[in-house]
Amino acid sequence: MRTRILVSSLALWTSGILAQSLPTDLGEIQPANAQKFYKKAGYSPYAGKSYPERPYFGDEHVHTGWSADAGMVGATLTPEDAVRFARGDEVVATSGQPVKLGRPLDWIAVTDHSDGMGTIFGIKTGDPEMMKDATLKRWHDMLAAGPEQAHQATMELIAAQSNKKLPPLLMDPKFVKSSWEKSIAIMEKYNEPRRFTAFIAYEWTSNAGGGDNLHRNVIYRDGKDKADQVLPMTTFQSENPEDLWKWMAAYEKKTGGKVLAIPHNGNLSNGRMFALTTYAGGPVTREWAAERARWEPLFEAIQMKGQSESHPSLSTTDEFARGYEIWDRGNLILLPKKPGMIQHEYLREAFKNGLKIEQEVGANPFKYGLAAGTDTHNGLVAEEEENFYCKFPSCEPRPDRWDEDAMKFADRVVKGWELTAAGVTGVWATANTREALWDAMKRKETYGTSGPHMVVRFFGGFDYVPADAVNRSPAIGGYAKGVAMGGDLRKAPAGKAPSFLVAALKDPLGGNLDRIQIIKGWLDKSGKPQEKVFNVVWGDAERRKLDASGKLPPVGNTVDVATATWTNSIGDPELIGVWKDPEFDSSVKAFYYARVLEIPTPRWTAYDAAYFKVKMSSNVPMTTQERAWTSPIWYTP
Amino acid sequence: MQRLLREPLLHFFILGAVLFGVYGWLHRGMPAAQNEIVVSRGQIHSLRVQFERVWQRPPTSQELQGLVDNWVRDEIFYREGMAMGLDRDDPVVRRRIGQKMEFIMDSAEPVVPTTDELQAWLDAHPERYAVEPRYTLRQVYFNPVRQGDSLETAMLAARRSLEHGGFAAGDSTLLPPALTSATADELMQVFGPAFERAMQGLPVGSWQGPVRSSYGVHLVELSEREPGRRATLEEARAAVERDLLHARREEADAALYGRLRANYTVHIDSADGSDADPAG
Repeated sequence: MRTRILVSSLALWTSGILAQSLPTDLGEIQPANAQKFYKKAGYSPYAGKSYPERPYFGDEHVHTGWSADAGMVGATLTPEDAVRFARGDEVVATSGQPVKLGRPLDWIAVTDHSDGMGTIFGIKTGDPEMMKDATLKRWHDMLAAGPEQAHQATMELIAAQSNKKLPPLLMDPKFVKSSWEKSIAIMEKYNEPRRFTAFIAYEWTSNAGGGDNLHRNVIYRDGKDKADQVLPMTTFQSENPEDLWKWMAAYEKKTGGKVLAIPHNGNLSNGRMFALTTYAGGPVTREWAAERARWEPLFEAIQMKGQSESHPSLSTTDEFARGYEIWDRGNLILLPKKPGMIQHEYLREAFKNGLKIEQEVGANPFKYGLAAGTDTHNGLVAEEEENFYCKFPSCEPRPDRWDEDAMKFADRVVKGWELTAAGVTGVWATANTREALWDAMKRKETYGTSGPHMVVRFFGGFDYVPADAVNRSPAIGGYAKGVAMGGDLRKAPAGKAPSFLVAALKDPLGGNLDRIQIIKGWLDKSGKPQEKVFNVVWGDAERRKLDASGKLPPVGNTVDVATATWTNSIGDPELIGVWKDPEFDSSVKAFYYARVLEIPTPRWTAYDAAYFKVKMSSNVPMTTQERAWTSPIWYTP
Repeated sequence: MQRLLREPLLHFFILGAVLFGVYGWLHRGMPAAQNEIVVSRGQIHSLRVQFERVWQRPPTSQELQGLVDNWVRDEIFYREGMAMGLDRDDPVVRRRIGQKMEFIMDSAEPVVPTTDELQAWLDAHPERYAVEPRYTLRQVYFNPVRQGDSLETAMLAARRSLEHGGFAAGDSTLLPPALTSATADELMQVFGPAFERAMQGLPVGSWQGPVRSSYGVHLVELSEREPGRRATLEEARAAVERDLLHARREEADAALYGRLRANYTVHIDSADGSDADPAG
């Protein structure tokens, strides 16, 4: 009997697979099926499975107590603590509270500010030259002889130091190990290919003119063997991003390795992040534009210090650009902005200006893909709205944190409630490894979210039809008929307009989806940049219709602020659609990217108000519409 | 003139002049500070090496001169600043020195744990290294909103068809129709926690449902459930060793701090200004 059941269920199982010839998106692909969707069906049934099946979620921007500014504000957590926390371990925050992520990340890049903090390491490795010194030899033996003796040796060393009786050999620079090497060693220890990726990384922190944010995170594809060979670039050497690119080129040449840079916080750059001149104020050349695009494939569009994707004064017709996590009062030291600065701070405007520069010099310096991170300075990537540990130890959960000054320079203040609980980068990589993730970042197959782990697909081509949206795996048709997010479309076939296949699956722990939009930017006939937002597919479609101008009624709001709860009774758990540009002009440059909006959910301030039973002032937003932005697809005639 | 007054460099010089005045007054009548600076060959070598390690080429003679000049400048400011006590009550300097101490405390080469020690650690924390249960399943998805009143009949019909080896489409979805040997964590990431919990007790080998997920309801055929189990030391050795060394180091740091702390008598005022007992 038992055998018969087994046999029959096995038969059912196999016949089911054949009958149900549906390719999958997030899970396994049946090779036999994958083949027929691919342009070239090779002999190997596994050859087709080379495209990314799932996004990997991570944070490309994390500081720990080893960053001098984080140390200054009291952060004590180390890179090791940060990595353990991101993997899902419980740690104790600087403020003494135990904290754990709702769900672990797939990868992390700890980006402490680079510098040469040294420590003594020759003793423990038993360097022969050092071992000639009797004292050092004795300490070496003690360090190796177990914890008790090691303590004793360390105490002696400290005493010798304070009495100025340290063996001179010990202070020789060649025996000083930098915090950089220590940090690398930690990442090596926690990097587990196919389970959890720990990138080697650092932040190059250029504050031009004393506070114009030109920071870049430098992410390595490589391991210790290469990263150890070269010291990171610091702003002691130069504050000019062009010098960072030179450093990156020198690193790659020397080691054969690979690095990329991710700029962030254009919103705090007082007009300098996407300036239409070089750092020194010179005219943009083709070489300059190409170098920038080469070394900087991604831009971090949102983090705890607000978003730099769009500004309501620039995107005046975009209803979702209004009032969303805007930090526009000044630069990093809140030096107020002058008129004209804002237009060189936001990514969407940079996309538009990039087309213009490309028209003029022949290369687009602002061809950025999308990333998002936290920029946390307490070692905790805790950006979940209901689990927000903030940017600094001083604003880890406490009843008053919303009303305190998060940043203060003279009379210029940013309040605690203005901090943003964000963000996460989704990377469409073929595997969770440094190499695969890095390669996906380099080809811009990424999207940034304000925190949710939503799955977002975005393809562009000239042949997508509505039927592609009914397929259970848009990815197969998506890759076969066009390019993925971050890609390029060239020269439209005669009479054809680009069409886009876009799909999103809500975060399993998050709110339903309100809508997917496609944001288009282009150069008009007179060479002036333009933008337009199109509603493509939306939830509750049976009761929500577009009006004559293409606007959609709001999805509604189920948030109960008093209890910081909501229901998924509005919106849809997933959305998919095909959209063809109705206003396409094949002779002008354009870009397209998707924005996915969730239904309103409680903002971290609402969770705080409910948990601590505090009443916040009426200007503090209590709900938010979490969102994702994909990398653009560019059209070049 | 307006512009000049706003010039940060001017502020710096004025501030500098004031500080030097204060310094001179504080140190009136004292002998001159030691004012010899030797830039040793070793120091120059170190500057050169630092430059090379960043830029992958030796400095030009002009650049090297610049590095040396900067070093001298920094050294002079450093000495003058230290003499003025500028390192005191500076949170950056304080924290930095503290970190250097932590680094030094951390400089002991870890003793490689024995297999017995690793096994003992694993036995004490089996949950951390547990091999997750794995599931192989097929699922058909139904969107309750889209189905409305017909949900129950649709699911019944689909189930009947599936049980007879037929096909059932359900509602179209991006969710994978099948997962092979997926971990509990992967199930949670894809379908949400409720679905993952349901899989723990679902009968194996037949179509079951409705099963709730974060997206709607499903018919699920669980073809295999590999139960979770304790990991063997062989499987978890690298992680066990890493975690054991991490724990030992934290213990060692705490113990070392304890020994240093014992050298001090610490009096802490209570926050409201009243006297408090010495803290140790």
